[in-house]
Amino acid sequence: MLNLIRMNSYRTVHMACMYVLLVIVCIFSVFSIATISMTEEEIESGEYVDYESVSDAMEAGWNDAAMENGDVDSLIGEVENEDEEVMINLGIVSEQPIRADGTVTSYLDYLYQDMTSGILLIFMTIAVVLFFNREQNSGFIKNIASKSTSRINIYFSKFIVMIAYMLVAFLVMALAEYICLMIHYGGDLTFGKDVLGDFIPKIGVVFLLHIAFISGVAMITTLTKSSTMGITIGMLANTGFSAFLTMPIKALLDFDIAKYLVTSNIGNVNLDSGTDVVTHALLVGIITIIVYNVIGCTWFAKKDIA
Amino acid sequence: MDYVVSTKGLTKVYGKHTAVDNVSIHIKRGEIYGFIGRNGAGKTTFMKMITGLSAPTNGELSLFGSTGEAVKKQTERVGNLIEEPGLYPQLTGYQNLKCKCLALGIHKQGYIEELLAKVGLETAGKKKVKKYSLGMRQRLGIAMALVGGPDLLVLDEPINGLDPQGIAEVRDILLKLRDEQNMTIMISSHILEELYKIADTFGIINKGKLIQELSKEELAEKCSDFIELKCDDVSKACPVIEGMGIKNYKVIGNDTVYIYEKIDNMGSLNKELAKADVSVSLLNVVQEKLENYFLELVGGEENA
Repeated sequence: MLNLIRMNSYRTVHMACMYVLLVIVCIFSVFSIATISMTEEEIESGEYVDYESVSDAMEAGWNDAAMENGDVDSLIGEVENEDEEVMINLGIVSEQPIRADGTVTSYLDYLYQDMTSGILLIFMTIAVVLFFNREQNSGFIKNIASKSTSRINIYFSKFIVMIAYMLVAFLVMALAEYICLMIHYGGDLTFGKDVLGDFIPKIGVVFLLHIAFISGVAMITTLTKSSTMGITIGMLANTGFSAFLTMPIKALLDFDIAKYLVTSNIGNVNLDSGTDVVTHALLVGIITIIVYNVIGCTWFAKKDIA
Repeated sequence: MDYVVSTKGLTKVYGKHTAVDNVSIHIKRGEIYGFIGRNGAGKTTFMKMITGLSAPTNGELSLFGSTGEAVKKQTERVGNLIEEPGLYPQLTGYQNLKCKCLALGIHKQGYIEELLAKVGLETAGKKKVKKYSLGMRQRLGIAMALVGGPDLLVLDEPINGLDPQGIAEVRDILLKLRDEQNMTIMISSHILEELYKIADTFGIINKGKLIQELSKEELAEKCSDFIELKCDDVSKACPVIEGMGIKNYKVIGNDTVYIYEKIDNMGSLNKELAKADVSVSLLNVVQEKLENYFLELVGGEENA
C-alpha cells in the first residue's frame, strides 16, 4: 500500500495538469479578492444592491404590501438600510463575510467563505477524474494490477494521494488569498485569531465533506471509465443541479433528501453554526465516504482490467 | 513434470460470446511457449487470465503449482506486456519505469538504467513516451514487464511494429532471459516464422479453442518437405502414384499433386508417369511453411 502511495505521489508530481489546476486555483483566489474590492467600491459610491437579500426578504413575506404592489424599489431601499442583515453577493466565487455583530472580517473569515463556496470542488472534480482515468486509459494499470495481491490497495492509494493533493490545493488557495488580502487591505487585515476556535473544527468538517465529494467523483469515474461522465456529474452536483432531483422527491415523498447531500452540507456549515448542524454534516461526510468507497473499491476489485 | 502454468478447461465468457473455450495448456519451467492464433482467437483473453487481469468464468488455473485463491499471490511473479504497452505518454521512459519500481518497492541504484540498456533504450530514457516510435514503446513495454525480475513473462505480440533489427534484438533478449535466468516465457505473435525461431513449444488456438499443443520437433515434422508434381492430366497421374504404393497425397486443382511421403527415387516416379502418357512439367521438393500449416489447421480457406 505504501509503495503504491509512493508511486501515485510520484505520478502526481510529474503530471503537468496538476500544476495547471493549482495555478487556476490561485487565479480564482485573486479573482475572488478582486471582486470584493469592486463590490466595496460600489458600496462606497452607493450603487450596490444586494438582490439576494431582496429575494430572501420577499420569500420571508417581508413588507407584503410592497410585494403585492410590485414595489421592488421600496424593498431594495429597506434592505440597504438594514446594515446588519447585508450579505454582499460576489456571484459564483464567494460572498464577502461580514459578521452578525458588524465587526471587521478577518483573513480566516474570507478563507472559510471561499472554502464553503465549493470552488475547490470544481478543480478537484477535474483532478480526480484525470488522475483516476489516466491510469486506466493509458493501460498502466496492467503493469501493477497483476503484481498487487489486492486491487483495493490500488484504488485506495489513488484516493489517499488525491486527498493529499486537495490539502495542497487548499493550502495554495489559502496562501494566495492571504497575499491578495495583504495587498488589498495592508495593515488593516486581521488574521482572525478570535475565530480560530470555531475555524479549526469547522474547516475540518468542511474538508471531510470535500473528501466525501471526491469519493463520489472517484466512484463515478471508476464505474463509468468516462472522463466526460465524471466531470459532468461532478460539476452538476457542485452547481446545485441536484435540486432538480431532490425537489420532486421532497414533493412526492415529503422527504428532504437535500439534507443528506454533501454539497448542501458544505453550504450549511458556517462559522457560527451550532453543534447539531456540524454533527449532522460530519455524519453525512463519514457515511458518504464509506458508501462511495465501498462501491468504488468493490467494482474495481471485481471488474476485469480491459 | 514441473509446469509453471497449467490450465484445465479454462473458459471465459462475455455475455453470449465465449472468448476462451475449455482451454488446457501446459507450460514447462524455463521454456518459451509460442501462442499462435488469428486476431480474435482468444490469445489476449487467455493471457489476461493467467496474469490475473481477468477472472476466468470456468476452469482451473495453476501457477507455479498453486491453485485456487493462492494463484493471486503467484501473479506477483508474472511480468506482462498485454496488447499495447501500458505507459504514461506524458512521462519519460525512465519515469514510467520509476513508477513501476516504486509500486514494487524497488529502490536499487542503477536498476532502471540497467533495464533501459537491456532493451536498447539507454539513450532514450529522458525522452517523453509520447515522442517514442511504436518500436520504442514496444521495447519499453518489455522493460516494464521485466521490472522485478519475474519468473514468468507473458508477452502479447511484443515484436509488433519493430523493424527487422529490432525483432532480432528482442529475440536475443528473450533467448538470453531463458538461457541465463531460466525465465519461462509465453509469447504470442503473428510473425510465425519469427516465433518458430525462439519457441520450444507451440499452442495453436482458434475461435477460443486450443486446437493443438506440440513441441518444436513435432511441429518441424508436421511442416516437413513435400513433393510438388505438375502435370497435364491429374486423373492419369493418380493411379500411377498409388501404383507406387504412395497413399499420402493431395490433388490441388487440375494439374497439381502434393505428395507427403518420402520418395527415394524421384526419377522412377517420372519414368512411370511418362509410361502412363502423363506429361510432367514440374517435379520438385518443397519445404512447407509454418504459415501454411497454421492456415490449414485453422481453416485457411475462410481467409481467402
